[in-house]
Amino acid sequence: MIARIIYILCALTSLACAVLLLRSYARTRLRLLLWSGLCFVFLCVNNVLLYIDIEVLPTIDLSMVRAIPVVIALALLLYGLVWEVK
Amino acid sequence: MNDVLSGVIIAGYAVAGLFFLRFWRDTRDRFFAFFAAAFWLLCAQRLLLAMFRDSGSENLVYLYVVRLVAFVLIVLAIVEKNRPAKAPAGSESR
Amino acid sequence: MTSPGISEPLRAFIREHIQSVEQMEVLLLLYTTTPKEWSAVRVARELRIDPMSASRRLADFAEKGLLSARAGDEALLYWYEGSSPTNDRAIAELERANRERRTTLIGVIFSAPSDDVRAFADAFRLRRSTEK
Repeated sequence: MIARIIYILCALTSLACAVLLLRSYARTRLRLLLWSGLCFVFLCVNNVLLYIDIEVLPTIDLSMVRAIPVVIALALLLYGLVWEVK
Repeated sequence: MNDVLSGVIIAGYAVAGLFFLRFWRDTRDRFFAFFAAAFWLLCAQRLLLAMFRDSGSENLVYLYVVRLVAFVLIVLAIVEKNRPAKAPAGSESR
Repeated sequence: MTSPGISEPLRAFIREHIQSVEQMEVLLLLYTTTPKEWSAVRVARELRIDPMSASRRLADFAEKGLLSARAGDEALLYWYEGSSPTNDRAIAELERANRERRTTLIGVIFSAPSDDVRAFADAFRLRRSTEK
């Protein structure tokens, strides 16, 4: 039960970060915000997949599937941090 | 393959945390300190998960509490960012 | 990195509010002509900058409480009225430094962290006002 709350909170927080960053990107066109916003989108996906893995499909191990969005998320974030920050 | 992905993720979180730490140093904005701590917690969670994956699933739940704390830190960062600024505007006072 | 003549409170003020020379000029223009009211278009013409840019700078400063604003007949009007004692002191020092140590001052402004980093943090401000 507590675990369920944790997953949902993490997913919502990631989503909120994504929305705030992408909304700001739409306004300012600063690319760091795009990459970091997308990062949080994929982190949110990861949290949703985590919920599905544990609660909805407990018999199937989705750990590899779950890892891929995180790798993408971090790649996008690091790309932005390295290239877009002057 | 799972191990490779884990390693990449652990390193990724750690480096991102380093960037946020640097932004904190440059801006003195505590917001970035929160984010650095959060990303390093996510890194630690991943690392512990990789180390203790085979030791039984009850312990793994504790690791997700670590993840929770990381995201709570992010929420706190956002909350603090939206507190009224130090300098009161015009005729308003805090 | 210490630069002579730029005090720590002024540095802190710059770190928080001034990321470009243009921003500084907008703020100082209104400060030195207080309590005169300015519209974005007039500021842009006076400083020879892009009106959209001037408008954004003025709106940002107003949001932070450094400038006051009101709706005029045709456009938003801004003026300097003073905010907190700390800010007033910093802006006075900024004005003096701009006259006496402009090169050093500009160096301090440029050595502060970039727009992008600040924009990341600012993205998480849930503003009530919508700005173009």
